[in-house]
Amino acid sequence: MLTAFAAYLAAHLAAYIAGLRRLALLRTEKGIFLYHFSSAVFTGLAAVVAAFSYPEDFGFAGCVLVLSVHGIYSLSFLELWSLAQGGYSLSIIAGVAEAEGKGTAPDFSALTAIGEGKLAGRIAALEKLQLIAKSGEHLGLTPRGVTVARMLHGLRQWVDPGVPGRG
Amino acid sequence: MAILLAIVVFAFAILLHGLAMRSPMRLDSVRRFLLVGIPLGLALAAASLNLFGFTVQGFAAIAFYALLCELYMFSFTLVLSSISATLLIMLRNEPIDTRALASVYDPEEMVQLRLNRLLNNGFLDKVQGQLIVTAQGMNYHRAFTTLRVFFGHGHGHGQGQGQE
Repeated sequence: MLTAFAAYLAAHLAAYIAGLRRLALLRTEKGIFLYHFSSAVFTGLAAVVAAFSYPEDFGFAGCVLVLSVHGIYSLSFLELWSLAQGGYSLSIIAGVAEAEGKGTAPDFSALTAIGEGKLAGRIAALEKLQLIAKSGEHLGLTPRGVTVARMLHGLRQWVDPGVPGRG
Repeated sequence: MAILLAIVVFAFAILLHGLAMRSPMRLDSVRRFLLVGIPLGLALAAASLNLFGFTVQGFAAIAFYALLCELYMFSFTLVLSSISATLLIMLRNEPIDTRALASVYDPEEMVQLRLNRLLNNGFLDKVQGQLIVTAQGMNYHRAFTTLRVFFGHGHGHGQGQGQE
């Protein structure tokens, strides 16, 4: 059972490397997310069937094992994909390297402009997720947004208590 | 039982990470978590294999702990750097006038914040007031340029569309 699952994950990655990565659909955030999400759903269903079919050898622990390994694979893949798509930090390094080569000072004005564009895009996305809502000229949280914002704030307070020298 | 053990060890890792974030070390948040998460993970692996042997249960505990750790690292790096998370946290106190949003969320500050992080983490350095890319920064840049081509994102520099 576990061998079949390992083979399935290897095939999922191999199919992407061999050809699927050239598809326009899998070069979009939504497309690549669905490629992994649909696989996780399929794996989850197969794992539940296996858990009921082999309760002694596989069972609930087998489900957890299979879904955990898939989760680690998908999350790592999607993080790399997203970072490679172009984060601020990579763009800053590229900008500094370019300026270094030319012997000039780095120009981050393009990144600032991207930041302004990103903000507008993120507001639209959060509105679509019904986490924020516009009321006239004001932007506020929806009840669902309040819950999410509280959780995010709690996590930020936990990991960002304001100690100097932290990255 | 095995899964419960993984959850308990993970909760302990979060607790120790919180304490590590409050101590004056020159390490970023991810490295601080790895500092506590890896030894705890090794201890869990030893305990799990000792208790359950090389069974599905034993490996499930280890894999589940690894997944929880990755999810936690993903979440807190997102909270620290994501525009959406920053916006939601900002709106937590009161609604903001959309016209005043630029003054409370400054893209220039976001660039400066990342610049400082790159300096702190050794990807960039300042020599005689001039920013330079360190060997570590060049390796990072080369690796992600290769990945950009592999994923089909194009050959140019980042466009700032990713998670950050």
